[in-house]
Amino acid sequence: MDYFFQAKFPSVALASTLMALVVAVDARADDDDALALQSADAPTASSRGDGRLKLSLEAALGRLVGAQAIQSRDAKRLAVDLRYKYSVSENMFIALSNRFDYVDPQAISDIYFTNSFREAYFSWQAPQAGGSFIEVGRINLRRGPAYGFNPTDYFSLGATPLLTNADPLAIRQNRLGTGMLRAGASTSVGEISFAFAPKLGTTEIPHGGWSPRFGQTNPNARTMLALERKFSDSASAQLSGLHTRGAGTTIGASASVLVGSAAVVYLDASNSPGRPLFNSVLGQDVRNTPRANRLATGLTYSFSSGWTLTGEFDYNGNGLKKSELQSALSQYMAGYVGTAQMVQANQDSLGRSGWLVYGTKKSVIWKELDLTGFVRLNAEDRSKLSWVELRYHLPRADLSMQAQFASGALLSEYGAMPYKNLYQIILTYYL
Amino acid sequence: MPDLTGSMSSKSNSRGTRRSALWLAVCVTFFLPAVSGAATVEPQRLLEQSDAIRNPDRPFRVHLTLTEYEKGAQTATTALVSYARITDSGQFASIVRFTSPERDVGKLMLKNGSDLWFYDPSTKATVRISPQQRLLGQAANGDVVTVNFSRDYKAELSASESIKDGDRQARSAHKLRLTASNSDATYGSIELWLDVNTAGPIKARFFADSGRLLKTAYYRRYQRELGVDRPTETVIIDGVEPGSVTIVRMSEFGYRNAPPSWFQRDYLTRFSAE
Repeated sequence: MDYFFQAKFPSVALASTLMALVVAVDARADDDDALALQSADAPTASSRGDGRLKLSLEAALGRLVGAQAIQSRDAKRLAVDLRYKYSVSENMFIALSNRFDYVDPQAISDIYFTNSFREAYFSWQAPQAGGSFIEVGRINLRRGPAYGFNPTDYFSLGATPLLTNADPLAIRQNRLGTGMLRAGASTSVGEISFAFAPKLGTTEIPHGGWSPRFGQTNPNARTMLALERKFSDSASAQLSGLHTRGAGTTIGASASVLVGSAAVVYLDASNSPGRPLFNSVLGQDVRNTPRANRLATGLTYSFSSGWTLTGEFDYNGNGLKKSELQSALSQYMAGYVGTAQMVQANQDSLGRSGWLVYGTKKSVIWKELDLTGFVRLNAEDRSKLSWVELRYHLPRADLSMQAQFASGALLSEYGAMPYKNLYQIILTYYL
Repeated sequence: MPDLTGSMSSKSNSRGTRRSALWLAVCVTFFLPAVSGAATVEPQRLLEQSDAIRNPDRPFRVHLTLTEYEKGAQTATTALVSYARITDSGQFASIVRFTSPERDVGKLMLKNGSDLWFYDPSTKATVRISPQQRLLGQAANGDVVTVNFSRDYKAELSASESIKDGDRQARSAHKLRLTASNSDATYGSIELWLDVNTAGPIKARFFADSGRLLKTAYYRRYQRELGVDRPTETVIIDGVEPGSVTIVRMSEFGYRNAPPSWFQRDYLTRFSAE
C-alpha cells in the first residue's frame, strides 16, 4: 500500500489490511467448513426408486377471471397420478400409467371427473448389440424436438383429454398413449422403427368419466416408419412417414444440432394432408383441404447464470390467417372455445404462424425455488398468451403458484378466450 | 609425533571436505528431488494413473448419493445410479438414472462425448441439451467422478507441494495444470493435486474457458473397490458461492455389462436396467 496513503489515512489502511486478512481467513474457513460436512446416508432400496412406482397426489385451488360478460369464478381440482414400471427380466418390462382428475368447474358437460388411462404396454429388447425391440399395447409415442408445436409428433391428435394448465410440457404429462405394435432395430445407417396403430373406435367427442377413449387415440389405422440417424456427437436427424388410412401420407423430418457449448438448434417439419381440425370452424370439406407444410424451429440457450431460454417459430400451413380467424370467430364463436382447447390439447397451432419464448431458471432467491414461464404470440393477429410458475421444492412435495394471462382483440386467437386470467396454487405430494 | 601442520592441514582439508559434503547434502536434499522429479514425473502418465484410480477399466455401475448444503444446512439429497463404459474414443459414456427424490425418479441423462440427452418419462420427451445446460443440474457433478481427464486434457506439472486434503491433513502432492485439448472437454482448465506416492486424486479446481472458478473438489474416503483403493466421497464446493457444497458419496461399485447400444438417444425410452 502506498506510504502516503497509509500516513494520511492510517485507520483506513489498517481496516483494509484487516479486511484482506479476514477475507483470506474466510476463504480458508470456507473449505474447512465444507470439509467438516458429512454425506447423507444412501437411500435404502425401497426408497430409491428400484420398484419404479411413482404415485403422486395433487390439489389445486384457483381463480378464473372472466372476459367480457363471462363471470369470474373459483376453481378446484384433485388428481391422483400413478406410473409403474415392472421389469420382468433384464430385457423385458411392463409399463402402466393412469391419472384420475376431479375438476370443478367441470371441463366437459356435467361430468366432474376424468380418468386418463395413459399407458399399458409390454416391451422386449434383444439382450445384446443390435438394439432390436418390440413393444405392444397403449404407448405414448412422442416425437419431435420442438416445445410448443410438433409437426412430426403424429400421435398427439386427440391424446390430451384434460387441460389443467397451458404449459406445453405439463400438457404432455397428461397425454394418452395410442394402441399400437411397435418394433425397431439398429442398422448401419441408424435406428429404423416401425409402428402400426389399428383403428380401435370411432372419433368421440371428448368427454369425462372412465372411458379409455380409444376412439380418440385410434380413430383410423395408421402406419409409421422412422429412421433415426446420428451424424456426429453434435448432430442427429430423423426422417419419418405416416400413412393414415383414408387420409393420405405425411412425410416429416426433424433434427437437432449442438452449437458451441451452450446452444441447441432444432427443426421439426412435415408435409401433410389437410387437417379436419379446423373444418368445424371454417365449414370446409376435409377432402378439399390441400396438403400443407408445417414447421417449428428454435434455439435453446443456457446461460451460466442459470437461465435457459428457448425461442421458437411455428408455421402451420393448415392454420388460419388473421382474416380467416376473424371470419370464423364472428360466425362460430360458440364453437371456438372447444376448437381452441382441442388445438391446445393437440399441441397444434390455430394461427398460420406464431412465436414461443420459453424460459426456466433454477434456484431463484432460494435453492429450492424454480421459475418457469412462456409467452406465445399469434403472429397473425398479435394476440398473446403468457404463463408463469414459481415452484418450491419440499423433500416430498412441490408447492407451485401459476398465473396465466391472455390478451388481444376480441376476434383473435387468445383475445377470444372466455377467461382472461387464471391464477392457481397447486400442491403435489409424492407418496 | 604427529605432524601438527599436517594435522592442521589435514583438519583444514577435513573441514573443507565436510563443508563440501554438507553443501552436497544440501544440494541433494533441496535440488535432487526437483531434478529427479522433473526427470521421472511424466504429467500425462500421472494423470492416466489418477484416472485409473477414480474409474474401473471395464463397464461398471455405481450408486451416487449427492447431499447438498447451503451455508452448512442440508437442503436436498439426490440419488443416482451411473452406468458407464469406455468408448472407442477413450472417454466414458454414461447413463445416469435418478432414483431419488420421488419427483425425479426414472429421469435419465445420457452423456456420450458432447452427445447429451435428457429423458423425462412423464413427458416422454428426449431432449438434446448443451454442456452448459448439463452443468446447471446435479448430474454434472457425476462428471467429477466418471470422466477420463487424460483423454480430454493436456497435463503439465506446475508444482510439488504440501496441501490440505479432504480430511484436513497435510499431504505431499504433485500439482498438475490441465488444459482442454479437444471440444469434448467440459471445463476450460483444471488444477489437479495428486498424491506423490500413489497418484490418487486429492483435490481439483475446475475453471471455465473464461478462467472463472466453477468448483473445487476434494477426493476422500479411500476404500478398496473393484480391486483398487479409490476415493468414495467427493466434496464439491461451488466456485461462486463457497457456502454451496455438494458431497458425492459412491457406493455399490460393480462391474456391469453396458453394451454400446445403451448409449444412444432412442434407447433411453426403453432403458430398464436396475
